[in-house]
Amino acid sequence: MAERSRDRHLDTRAALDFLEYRLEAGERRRVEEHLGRPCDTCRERLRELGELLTTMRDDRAGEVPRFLHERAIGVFAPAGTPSPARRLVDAIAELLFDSQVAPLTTAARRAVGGARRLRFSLGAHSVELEVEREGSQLKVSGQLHTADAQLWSVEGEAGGERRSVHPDAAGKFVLYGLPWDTLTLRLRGEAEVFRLPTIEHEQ
Amino acid sequence: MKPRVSGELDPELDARLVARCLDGESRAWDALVFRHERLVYAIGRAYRLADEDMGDVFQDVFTALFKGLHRLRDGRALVRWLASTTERVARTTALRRRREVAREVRGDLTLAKLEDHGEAIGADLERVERQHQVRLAMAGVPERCKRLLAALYYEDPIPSYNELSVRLGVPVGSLGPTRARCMDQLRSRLEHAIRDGDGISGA
Repeated sequence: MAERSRDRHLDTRAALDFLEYRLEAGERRRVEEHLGRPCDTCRERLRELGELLTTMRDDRAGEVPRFLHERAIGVFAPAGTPSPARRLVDAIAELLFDSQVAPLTTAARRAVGGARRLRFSLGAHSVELEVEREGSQLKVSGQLHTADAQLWSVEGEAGGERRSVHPDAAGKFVLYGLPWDTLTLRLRGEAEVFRLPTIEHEQ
Repeated sequence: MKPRVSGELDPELDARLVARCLDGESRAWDALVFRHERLVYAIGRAYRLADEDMGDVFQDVFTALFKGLHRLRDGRALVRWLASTTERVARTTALRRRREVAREVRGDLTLAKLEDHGEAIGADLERVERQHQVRLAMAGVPERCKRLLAALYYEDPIPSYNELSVRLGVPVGSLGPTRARCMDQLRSRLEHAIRDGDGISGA
């Protein structure tokens, strides 16, 4: 039985637990015996995972400060010559659904937990949002439905703080780190800018 | 059939963004900056540049990128170009700053030692590119995985499983298996990019 146990290859979970010293002494011994047989497959798996963990843990640069981001963005539209997109007047997005006004079904509530769900029409596009409280902060996740969503930006402002994010290729995005306060959102595309109606929260 | 690389690690994404920038789309420039500004920041940080100098590096690097976009239509070359250009600009900036300090404080005697410091940092460029590649791959994994992996492998100090359980709303017993599944997804995205021979750095 013990012999068979020592023959067992490491799956990702066991390999991570081994690398992170999360295994009980007995299990760690079993893994060491298995590696010592030797097992080249598991050694290679450990080496690859170990390199990946080291790459991630050595990455300590932190987030790019906003003033640097703006400096880089400003290269495209030099001061005094704003790009056409920046001259656009905001269009107001149309609220299509708000779970605070039209409560969700029990099944839907189970799926999204305590998050407030909203959906807006942005002309030919639309955006779905989930707004929830995380301690003293807001988390806004959503999906923008449009072609080339990654070329849009989502800008949020609450409690005097601003955050912005670009959706991924599927249009999904998450804004973290805004204080739990009245929320305003703008979605900027190349040729249009939409301002969402102010989002107040129930106390 | 080999799964196609998609989303943030898609080597064609940079090429499309470059083409759109060349067409004058400022949103594409925003997206390009958003994708790669952290690479520039990480290299600048490695040279321990002050905010003011970092601002100059951002300005110089992104101006050079903007002017050189027509030569970077092959998106696979973009990260390698950005990394080497940033290193050159950051090194020059750091040396200039240190020369000024050396002249003011101890005279030119320290200059040779200071230049040696610059050499040592340049050797880590490959590691910074790899870290950037992992960050881009992270942007493509599901949000739940992104938050868990970021907490475990990018935060310092590493939060305990109990703390993570509360923060992410996941039972402690599920964290280990979830972490392994998320890590498999991240590795899969990285492996496909490398196997296709056209990862973002063109390495």
